[in-house]
Amino acid sequence: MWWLLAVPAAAVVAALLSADSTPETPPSEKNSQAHPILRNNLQRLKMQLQGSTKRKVAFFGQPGAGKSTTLDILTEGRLQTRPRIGVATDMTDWSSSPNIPVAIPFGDVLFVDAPGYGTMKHPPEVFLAHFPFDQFDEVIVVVKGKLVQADERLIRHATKQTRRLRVVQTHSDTLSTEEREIRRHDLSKRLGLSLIQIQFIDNRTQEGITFLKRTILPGR
Amino acid sequence: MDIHQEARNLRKELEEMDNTTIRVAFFGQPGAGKSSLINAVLGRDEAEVSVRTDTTVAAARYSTPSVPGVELYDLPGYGTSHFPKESYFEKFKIDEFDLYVCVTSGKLMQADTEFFRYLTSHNRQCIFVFNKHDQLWQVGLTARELENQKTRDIQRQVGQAVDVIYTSCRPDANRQLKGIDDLMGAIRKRLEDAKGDRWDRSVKAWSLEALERKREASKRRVALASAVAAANGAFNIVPGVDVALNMTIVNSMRAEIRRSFGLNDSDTRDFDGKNGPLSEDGLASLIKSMAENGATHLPKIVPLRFVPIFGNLVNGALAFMACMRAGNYYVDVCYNIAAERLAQQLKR
Repeated sequence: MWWLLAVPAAAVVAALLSADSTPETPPSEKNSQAHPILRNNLQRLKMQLQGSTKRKVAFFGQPGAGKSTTLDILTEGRLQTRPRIGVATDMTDWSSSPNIPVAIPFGDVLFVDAPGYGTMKHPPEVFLAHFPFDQFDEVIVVVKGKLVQADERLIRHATKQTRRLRVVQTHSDTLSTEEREIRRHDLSKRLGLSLIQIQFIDNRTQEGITFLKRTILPGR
Repeated sequence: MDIHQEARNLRKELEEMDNTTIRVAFFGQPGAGKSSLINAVLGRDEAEVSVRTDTTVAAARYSTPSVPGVELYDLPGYGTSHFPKESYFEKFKIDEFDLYVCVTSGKLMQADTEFFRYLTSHNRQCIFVFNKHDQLWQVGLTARELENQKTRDIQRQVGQAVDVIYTSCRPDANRQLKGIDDLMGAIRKRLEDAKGDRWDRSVKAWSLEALERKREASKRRVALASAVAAANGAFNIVPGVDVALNMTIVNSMRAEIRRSFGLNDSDTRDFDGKNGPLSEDGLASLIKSMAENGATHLPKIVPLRFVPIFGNLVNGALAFMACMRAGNYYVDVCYNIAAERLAQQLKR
């Protein structure tokens, strides 16, 4: 009688698969007029990326994950516009000024330090609809704590759009070896990534920075 | 004055006191550390923490027998697909909770801010906790500077001068958790009389100040329990015993005082034998000596409201006063033991 179960099981699997492949942009978002400056900045970013021949690398992730700090350490504080770092919300703010620098050149690389999504000023839906993932050579997703729903949706979406994606777990010093293994497998499973796409760093102890530098800025 | 009716009323009042429940709801992003905070407040070293999640539509409720009357809730994510914003407050009645604690361990998310705004627009109290204080770090800034920046940022986000408490649920070098005492103090500050007393008696005292409040609250319960024991004893005298007190109530009073201070039988053995202050023999001899000495100075210790009830019942009044005096003495004994232990802990 096992086949009686097989049919609903197959239906569930099919439902899961189709849910995964449906367009992730909510229809309301496409036509929404909210957050005009953020939208405009994302549009401007897309055009800048299209017009550049440099290698394009984005730092993307939740607020406070450590995107700006990692980028600043990686470039040894030598970016012409240094990323704004701080414990306050929306330190990297694309929602207030229509001419804020959105992409910063560094040698043959064009870096994008995206604002953290999920705050009042930077809702995830806007990123889902307008962030130009397809324009990047690599997207570096920076995570700090547990994943929330918005992370999964955005990162799965980014994986499909971009050429190369890796997840960088910050604050690794606070994780034990065992916790790291749990985390690595959890991230891999929930985001549909292979284990080698997940790296552990700590900006305070400098753990993993050399490796990150070598792989993002080879020859420097 | 009908002593039977008074006895019933007093008994009901004592039951209400002991059934007072404080419900605190924790909300915030997954991974912010709500569960760790809940464990820290309940003191997981003392007892197994029970987690009950009825269904996906319920908040997880945490309580533990050693902290009676305190229920902490872990609210599910606000504005997630399972719990959309539109129907959230139909499922979770915000009046059911005495207090809310917003837990964050990074930057404040939209959901947190919106949840808070809903709470304040409905006159609910909320405390902010920045957990994982050990992860608050930035080149060139001290922890204090970062805390100040963070507090200002949270206040700007939510548009109000809210309290922000900094905690860490990872034990430090002295195996202490940072800020848990601050959080408990902040919760306590927002509770009204009856609930405040209940909180003070139930939770572990992390400071001498909290221990002092515990002593005061315990004495208030002693007064009421003594009145109940005397009123019920007055028409229920055990034959052959000199004590007109309901010993069941006295015994539960003793156990309640001990529990409140986190002590067990063996801790107070020296004060609690056959002739201990709250034993039948101890009370009998106290009543006897009070009767012989005229007991003129004692009414001063009796709360005024109880005077009319026992005013015309000499035996009842004596029994009541003896019980209260012995009860208060036992509270002080427990307080001293607990204070010594706390001092040891704080010194480490």
